[in-house]
Formats: sequence, C-alpha cells, structure tokens
Amino acid sequence: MMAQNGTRDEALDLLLPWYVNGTLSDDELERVEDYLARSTQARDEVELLRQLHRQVKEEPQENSPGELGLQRLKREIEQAERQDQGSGDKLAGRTVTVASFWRPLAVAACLAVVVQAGVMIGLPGGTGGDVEPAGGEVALVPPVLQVTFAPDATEREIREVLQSAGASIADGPSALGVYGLRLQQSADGAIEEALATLRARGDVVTFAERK
Amino acid sequence: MANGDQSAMDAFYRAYEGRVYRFIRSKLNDSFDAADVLNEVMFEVWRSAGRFEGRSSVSTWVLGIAHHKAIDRIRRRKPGESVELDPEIADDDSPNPAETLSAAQDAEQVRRCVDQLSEAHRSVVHLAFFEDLPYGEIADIVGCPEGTVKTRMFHAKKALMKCLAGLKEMGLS
Repeated sequence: MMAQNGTRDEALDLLLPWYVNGTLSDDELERVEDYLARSTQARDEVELLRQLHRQVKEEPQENSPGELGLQRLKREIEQAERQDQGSGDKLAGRTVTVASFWRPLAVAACLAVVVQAGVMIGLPGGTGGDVEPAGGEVALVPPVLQVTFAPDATEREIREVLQSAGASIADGPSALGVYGLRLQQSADGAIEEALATLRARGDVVTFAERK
Repeated sequence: MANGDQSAMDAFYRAYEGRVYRFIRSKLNDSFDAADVLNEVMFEVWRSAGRFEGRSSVSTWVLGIAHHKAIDRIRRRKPGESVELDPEIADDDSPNPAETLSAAQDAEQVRRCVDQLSEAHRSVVHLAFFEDLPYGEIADIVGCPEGTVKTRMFHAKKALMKCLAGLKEMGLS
C-alpha cells in the first residue's frame, strides 16, 4: 500500500525505527526518504522515534560486574576443568591443564587414520564398490554422550573402550578437550549401558556424561 | 580462546561484558539475575568457542547466547508460565506521535515506560536503539524472522506512545 498525500504505508512504517538508527540498506533508505517527503504523519513519527532513540541511548547504565565478574568466571572455569579431568586423574594424581588440548586432538587424528585403514582393509580387492565401515553401517545420529580421555591414554586403549561401549567419536574436542560420542543404538537403556562401560574404564575415560 | 587460551578469554570478557550485561539486564530487569546470566553466557562462550563458525559476527553470536540464557532464566523463575514471545498490543487507539513527543523528552518517563514493556519488546528496543543493530541482525540474535522483529518494534513503539500519553494525562510529565 503506497502512501499518497500523507496517507500511511504500513511496510515503510515498519522500517522507520531502522531509519532512525541508520541501518537501512540504500534501497530501503531511498524509499523511506521518499515516504517522509510525502507523509507528515511519518515525519512526526520519526521525530518521536528519534527522541526515544536518544533517551534509550543516554539512559544511565548501572555498573556491570566488571573484574569481579571475570574473577568469578575464572574460578568456575577452573572448577569445571578439575571436574572434567578429575576422576581418572585421581589414580595417578596428575594435574591436567588446558594445554593438554592438543593431546586428545592428536588421539582423534590417530583414530581417524585407524578407522580409515580399517575401512580400506575391508574393501573387496579395491574394486571401487560402495565403502562401508567394517563394523556395519553406522547411522548418522547426533552425539548423545560427552567424554574426556586421560592424557596418557593410548589410541589402542581409547579404541577398545569405544568399541566395547558401541560408541564412535562424533565431534570435539572442545576447548576443554571434551568429545561428543554417538552410539550405534540410541535407546535409553543402551545409553546407560554405554555410560557404565565408559565409566568402568576410569584409567582411559576421565569424564562421561549424557550430552 | 578455542584452544583454551585464558588470556584470550580475559580479553574477550573485557571487550563484551558491558554490552552483554546491559542486554541481559534489559531483558530481566534484575541486576543479580543479570550478573548470574552474564556468567553463564561467558562460560558457554568459553566452552563453545571452538564451535563458532564465523557465520555471524562475534557480537551477534554472543548476544544470541545471552538471549537464550536470559529466556531460560525467565522460565526458571516463573515455573509454569510461558515466556511471552510475541505479545499482542491489540488496540489500535495509540495516540498521535506529535501528542506524545513532549512526554518522550522526559528521560525518567521514557525509562518507566520501557520497563513496562514485555521482555520481547524490551529486547528489540534495546537492540535497535541502544545497540543500533539492523533488523536482520536482531532477528539472528533473538531467533525469529525479520518480519517478527519489525512487528515487535512496531508494537513496542505503540505501547510506549500509549504509556507516555497516559503519564502525560496524569500530569506526570
């Protein structure tokens, strides 16, 4: 609906706040300016919106938590790191730092190579047929578990644990070294069973929870 | 930060904390809750920095996290109540803009009327008028279509005009 002789244009009325904050595209700006040239009511509205914009901008702001908030955040990050890394490390009394981020990444890379090798070995004479994982088709389901691995866990240990739990790495590691795992079966019972299997290997899996 | 660099987190926190806090505060109207939610947001940023794909600006990403965390907080503190996502400002008898202009010049009255808006309307007003964001970016932050952002702003403006006119009539401005 076009504005003529001061009548309103609803579509352009909706753009007026963004005309006031200066974020319209060139095309929108041109159409709004043309509208304002024709509509007294639209000009009045822009005047009001400018006033509201100014008041909102100039409203005194209460202080944010600042450095105190940062200290609180750091404490909670440290606590979370201890929880993430804690249970398995109790055995050896090790201290795990965020720098261990690269180790799980390297383990994941090794795992990728191993899985790829497994697939290649399973190929029937390399004839170029459809490639399937040696363990059968794995449904592409989202990760349901999250885990961290002990810093000194070997690729072989991680592989054994994942295979016995019926799990595979779906994503990660996060900044804290957390991996997402997907399961071959996603029923509730299967998830609990996999969790129990993972937790039973505290020397390899330092943290295991539902995602 | 995605690699667990604590100094990067410090720098990020100092750069964004004020903006994020003000946005959360505008949604929750409560300083203590806002400080709590700010902490949750920054913690989430720390944990998920590695998953940030750069499809939006960093500020859109972090304000989007803040939006969702604040909505979660509202739901938790009002169990059983649904969060008003797109409330109706039904009647179309809003006063004339020219009539409310004088009331809008009183900062205290504007603040009082903004505080009376629904959470959804306050968010859009804050993002459009305090952050000066385009409607497309606001839509990304609050997770709704651009048309909804425009409509919410339209209704928020009507509600503000009505509130300001009411205060003027009462002789409070």
